[in-house]
Amino acid sequence: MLLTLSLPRINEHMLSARVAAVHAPVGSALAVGSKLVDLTVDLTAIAAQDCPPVSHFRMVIRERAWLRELRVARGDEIAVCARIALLSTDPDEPLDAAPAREARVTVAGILMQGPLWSEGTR
Amino acid sequence: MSLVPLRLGRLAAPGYDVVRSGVRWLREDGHACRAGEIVGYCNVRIAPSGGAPSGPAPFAEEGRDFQVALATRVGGRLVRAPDASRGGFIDRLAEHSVWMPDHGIGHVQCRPSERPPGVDTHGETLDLMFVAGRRVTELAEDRSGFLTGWHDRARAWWGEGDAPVGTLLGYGICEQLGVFRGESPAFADWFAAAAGPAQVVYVPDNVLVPCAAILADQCRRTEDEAEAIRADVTRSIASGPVAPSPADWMFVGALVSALLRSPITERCDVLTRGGLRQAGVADAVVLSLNAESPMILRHRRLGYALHCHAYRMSDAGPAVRSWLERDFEIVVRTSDDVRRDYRALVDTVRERSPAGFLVMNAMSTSSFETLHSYAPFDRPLGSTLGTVRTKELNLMLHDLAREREVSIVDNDAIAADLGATHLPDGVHNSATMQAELRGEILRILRSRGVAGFAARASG
Repeated sequence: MLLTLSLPRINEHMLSARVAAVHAPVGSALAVGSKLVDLTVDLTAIAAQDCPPVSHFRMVIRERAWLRELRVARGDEIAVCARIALLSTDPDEPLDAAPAREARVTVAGILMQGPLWSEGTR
Repeated sequence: MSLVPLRLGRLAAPGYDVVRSGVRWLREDGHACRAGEIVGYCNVRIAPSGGAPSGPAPFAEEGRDFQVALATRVGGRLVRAPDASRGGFIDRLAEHSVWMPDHGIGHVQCRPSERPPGVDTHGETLDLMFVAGRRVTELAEDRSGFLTGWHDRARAWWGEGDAPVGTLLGYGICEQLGVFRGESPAFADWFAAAAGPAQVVYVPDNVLVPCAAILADQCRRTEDEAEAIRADVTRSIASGPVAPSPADWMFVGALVSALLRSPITERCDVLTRGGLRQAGVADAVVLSLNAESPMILRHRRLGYALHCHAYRMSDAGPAVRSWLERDFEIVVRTSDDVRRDYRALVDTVRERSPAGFLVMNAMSTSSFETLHSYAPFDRPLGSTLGTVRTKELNLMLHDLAREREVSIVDNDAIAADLGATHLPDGVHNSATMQAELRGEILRILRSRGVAGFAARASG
């Protein structure tokens, strides 16, 4: 069975997210709880205020699957509902069939361990 | 009907003349006012009445943004005096009228039975709430309204009563802005709720994020250490590898100015009906746990702590970012580190005064998560998941409360009661939530017996 992984609307105001990290390579077997991607949601453009809400999230898979196709890379800005990856429940399953459903994932807010500032965030 | 005159009443500072602008009205003619409602304001200034005064001039850092709000003691229909306001600069510059106790700015029209007995005993039917703002730079001029402008410290105090002034200082991040300044006019919510004499001070986080490590440094810093920081910043920015832009200079000027002050230990001048005096240092300080970021900066050579919002640092300019990268190291902080910083701050301040500390805890849940298990996340969870870190910090506050008699303003519980719509991103709260937090702070101040914050007598 093919499963899609798409960018969920984590926050009702968000239109997109930036891929901050990709944790799994194409072809890897994903155990329950495997890290998939880290995302940065910057609402600066939507919520024009002096204190822009920028938050970081991690997507983790909740079911066993194989990562068959990855459509994003670190630094990409992707729209809500855009496809991030294609997964399958069988490692050799052909990819030409229609995906059955979205993969089951957990989304959690994470602390970003990086530089305290970045150029061009606003 | 009974016409109660709205007289300015006595206001004097020995050795000085009190002068004022015309009145800028906040309420329309005919408005039905309640007792205690602020109806207008004017700018005020105290000028030496003869010769050069000895010592530093009062309100030296706030003289250009010094105003008084005028509140009617009597409820009824407002009748504005036609000559109280002339508009334009006459109502903005505090030098066109001498403060005359008998001068009336209008009347309140009420039934004789509604006129409270003894309201006019001293010939005053206006209560005064003074406000003053210390500009980040004198260039930051905005006289357009009540306490407008860019201030690194804004405060209000009650103009009535001769008792010592109880001072409350709000020193947190933007979650405190609405709690302290309120909706409109600024500080009026505190004025309506507390009998006074009280002073409410708010220090914003525009440049510097007030985490405990920075505040403790501010309290302990000697003049020699301050001079060393000034000289080092000037040298580092001016002769660094990146040419400073105007934005760099403005940011670094505001930053150094904020860094080298210590609002917790500052004493402020207050003018009241009883004269000119100085209020004590803060009796109670409200801090924000949200100011305690997982990472702050520490100067590699001089050792002082620094923290600004990430978006401010991104905006600052290339020379400032280069300076931060060259001269500072990132310090990652656990909840134990934050507790240590809080202890150091509380102990440092209490060596000088018995200040009470209140800390607003943080919202520890997120409506944006679909978390079903902690198993997939890296240990320690407090270093990975924001909500777990917040829960650890909130728990840490309970230990601190026992150790150092710190009071917790339970932001987390209030948000849970009101619902996520009142605190959608965990920091920026609704007016309803701000009012709840203000009420909770008042309840704590009253339970701790902080002078000036008892409830106003009704009627």
